[in-house]
Amino acid sequence: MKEEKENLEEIKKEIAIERLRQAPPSIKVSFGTADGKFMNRDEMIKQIQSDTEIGKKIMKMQLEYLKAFKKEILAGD
Amino acid sequence: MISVVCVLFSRPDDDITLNYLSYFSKELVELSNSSGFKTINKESKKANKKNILSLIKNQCPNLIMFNGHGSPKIICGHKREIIVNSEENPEVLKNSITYSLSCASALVLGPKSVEKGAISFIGYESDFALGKDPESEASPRHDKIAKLFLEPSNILFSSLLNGYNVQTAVEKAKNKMKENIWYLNTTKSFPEAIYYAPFLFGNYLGLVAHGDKNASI
Amino acid sequence: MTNEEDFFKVYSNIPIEERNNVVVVVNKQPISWQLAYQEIKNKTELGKKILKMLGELNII
Repeated sequence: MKEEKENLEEIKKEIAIERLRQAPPSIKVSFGTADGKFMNRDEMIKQIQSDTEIGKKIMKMQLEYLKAFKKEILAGD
Repeated sequence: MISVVCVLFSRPDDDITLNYLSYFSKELVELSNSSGFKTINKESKKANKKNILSLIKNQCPNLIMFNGHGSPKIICGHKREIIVNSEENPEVLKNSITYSLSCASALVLGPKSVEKGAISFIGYESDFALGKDPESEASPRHDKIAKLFLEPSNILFSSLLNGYNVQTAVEKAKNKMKENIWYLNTTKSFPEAIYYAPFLFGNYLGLVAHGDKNASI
Repeated sequence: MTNEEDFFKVYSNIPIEERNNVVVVVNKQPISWQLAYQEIKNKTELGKKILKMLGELNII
């Protein structure tokens, strides 16, 4: 059970990373980190791979976005 | 005696992210001024703890907007100086409607400030993400992507300035976020647009209001 | 509603551009919404794995 849960977490990471890999390397997003810097695609991927707090938040954003279509939050008019 | 509405802005700009927030919130200061409110705008290094807390104490603002870095328990000003801390001074926000454009401060500080007498606290329960046009260098004025992220925030606060209640202001902001997310998903005007959508959606999910949702100025 | 029906219902909400994007990774292979649709529609083994994963992730 614990192993399954860990596996799911690993899959979530992979999904977030693969989704980001599809983006152009130049996209820039800031998450209000201490230095106020904007991160590019590869920096965001590195954060996820390194299991940092920011990486976990980025991963969560990607997964929550995918779930939004099920909840029809983002259905167009 | 007619009391004049007092609006306080804390707008540090000491890094690129805060510079963007400060630039985009400038129109809110102008709106507050043109609405005839007593408008106190503290920007750059004047957005510090000493100034802001003194002004809150002496001017008793009805409405407060914080731009700044933050976390679940804190809101910061210039150079990341902590201005409000849920464990030290959440009561400073009492009798005000506060909008905090900072990461996660609605998670702990928000409800705590309401517990200590704040009328309402509007903010984000997760990190506020800001997308940026890689081609605009550090120029917020030309940044079409940042605009999509910050426009809803401006709609929220301008709605409050225009007398809408907290709930309506938040709904207007969320509707704009949804509209902008749909735009990012469908526009052909720049190819990277769709990749920003999840981050703006994170802001949509994170935006909450604590306290009296019927409150207005 | 079966998982397949759940998927098709969600898929109908996906903007065209998003359909090219990754929705799940199966055996280290990134799968887009579009590819998932094809595999599920054709009732392949991969399609079944995709459905299972999407259910576990609460995406459908």
